[in-house]
Amino acid sequence: MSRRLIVLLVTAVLFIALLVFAAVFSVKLLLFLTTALFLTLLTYYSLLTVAGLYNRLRRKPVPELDHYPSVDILIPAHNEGVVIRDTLEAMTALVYPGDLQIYVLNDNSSDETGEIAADFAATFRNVHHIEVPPGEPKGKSRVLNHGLGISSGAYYCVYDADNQPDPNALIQLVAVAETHERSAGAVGYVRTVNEQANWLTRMISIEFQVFQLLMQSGRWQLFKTGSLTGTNMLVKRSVIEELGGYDPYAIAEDAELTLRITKAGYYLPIVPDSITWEQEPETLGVYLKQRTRWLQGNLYIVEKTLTEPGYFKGKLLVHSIHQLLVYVIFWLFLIISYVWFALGILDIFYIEYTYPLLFIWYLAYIVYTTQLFAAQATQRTFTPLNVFISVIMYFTYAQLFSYLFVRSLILYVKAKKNRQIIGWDKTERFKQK
Amino acid sequence: MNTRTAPWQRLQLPAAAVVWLVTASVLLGFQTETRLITMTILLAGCAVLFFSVADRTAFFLYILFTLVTVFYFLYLAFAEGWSPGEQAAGIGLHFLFLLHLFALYSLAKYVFSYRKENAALKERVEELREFISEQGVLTKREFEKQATLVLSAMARHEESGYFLKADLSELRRSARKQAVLASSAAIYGTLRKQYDLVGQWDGTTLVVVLQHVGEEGFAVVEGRLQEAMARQLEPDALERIRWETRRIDGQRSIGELLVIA
Repeated sequence: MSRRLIVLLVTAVLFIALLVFAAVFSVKLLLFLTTALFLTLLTYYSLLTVAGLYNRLRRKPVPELDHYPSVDILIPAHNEGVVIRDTLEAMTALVYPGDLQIYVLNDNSSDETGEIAADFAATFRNVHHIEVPPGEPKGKSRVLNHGLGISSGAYYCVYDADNQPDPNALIQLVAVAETHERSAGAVGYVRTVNEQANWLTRMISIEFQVFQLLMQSGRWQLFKTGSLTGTNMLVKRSVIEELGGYDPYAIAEDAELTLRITKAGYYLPIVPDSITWEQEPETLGVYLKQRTRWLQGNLYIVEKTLTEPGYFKGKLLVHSIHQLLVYVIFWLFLIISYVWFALGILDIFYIEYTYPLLFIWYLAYIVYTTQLFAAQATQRTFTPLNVFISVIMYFTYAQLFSYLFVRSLILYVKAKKNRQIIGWDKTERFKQK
Repeated sequence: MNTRTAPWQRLQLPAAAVVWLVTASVLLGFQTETRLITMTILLAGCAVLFFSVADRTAFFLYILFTLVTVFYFLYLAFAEGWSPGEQAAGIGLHFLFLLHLFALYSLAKYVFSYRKENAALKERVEELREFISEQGVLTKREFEKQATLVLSAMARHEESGYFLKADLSELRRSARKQAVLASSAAIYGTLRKQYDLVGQWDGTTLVVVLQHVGEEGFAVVEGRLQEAMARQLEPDALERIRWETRRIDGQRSIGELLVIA
């Protein structure tokens, strides 16, 4: 373990000890601190919701360019036989007036992925089937680095192997990237193609819509910062070359690259009308595996944020504070509230409070549910069933976060302790009905 | 055409109206005499505002009012030191107000969507009158109908033309469907929109009728067509497409043209 990490862990332990001390000797102080922080968080999220809605209402026409630069589409693929045909059909249907090359980066697939990709490559001039040589560490970052090495377009655009972008998705990304000063590229929206499969996919779909409304459109409106989403994202080759390519050890490679791009002073504009349709997990088992990987990726970023210099300057501050709020402070509050609740129920710990905690709980519920409603309204996915699901999501889907966080944290710390590389865990795909 | 709607859809509008009226009555009923007029003006103002803007703006207002009021109630709870009982009453009152606003937004949205749907349907009817699909390539039925009209007119005026058939069934299986779409778009892009017809006969066959074209004109069209397709497809894929050409000389139906010697 590095010295910085030890210092960090000691600080975290001291902070928790301080909270316990405050709880024992001055409950009111603890209550004041947590209430103030919690209300600040809720106000921030309410502002993001309003800003996101405002941004989506102000529809700006996408400009037309005189010249469209060359673009390489990179599709990392490992055993994607179930979905790759639909993906390539959508890719070859993309409307783009400039030079467009499509690379299927076949990462040692043992199913029919290679065969299907080869058929497309033999039929379409701009489709290329690339067999990525085996290597370590496994994962998307290494495959993308290989793709960057064999392509040469002015921009590259990443699509996951289960994606079906709308025909005009790419042209909009390029137009916005080219017309924004100091943009590193542009980021589109991701929608759920199998939303109607079951309640889980509906909840995931709503969560995605909320992320895009608040974290993408809202933050762009307020702070002019955007995040790469791993798919339907366009980046300038000159920028990725300046940054030295992808970090092969980053599991959430998109979030990690976002931080480096922002740190270098570039912008990532959001293009809500550039839409790709993606498949989401249809079973709880697949969902838990996928989200554990994502959370471990984010913990890696939290570690980087706290242990490497330069993450609390300029626009990067917005990203860094957000990472800490979600993955450290929010989680800590959650745990405190659970413990508090359990102690209260068991009549072990009781305080006479002077704060309207019941109403604060209601406020949290309203702010959360309002975000879900707002996101659906902007995407026009408001249905009676979705409204019902939004009403119960706070009590069901949102509570999974605690379990997932603890699970990911344990696995992450274990891997760090044993000096293991956290392996890439591919999300299982489903045949589209 | 099935114009029946689901029972829920038929009930949406009246249900929203009932909720709107009931919540308004309860909210007004809770007010003291001094606050009654202010509250009535507030609710009426909301209604006028929601109905006078587009549905998206109405939704923005709904979210804005929800957040502003919930934070205002929180301020009151802190300022007046609400007891748990008062907080519960505050939650109930605020929830009632949200329900009222949501019903109002729903009503505004239905009115707006009916207006929009009406305009969209008018546009669709115009489109269907022309029998043209969204990509400009006709379906088999549409192609047959339009080709019969065009061929009859050509026979009447003793005009010549060409009939083309492209068979893409020999293309690689996985990429075939997309290749058919790409080819049809390429063909349509090279022809004269107001004279020529392009149709998809079945899953792997494309058909074209070129009006008023002689041998020289056909050579030019053929060249342009091959160039457009070569921009998208590999030479090997192009070689796998089987082209059949027939000069139109008095034939009056597509059936006669499809019998190619």
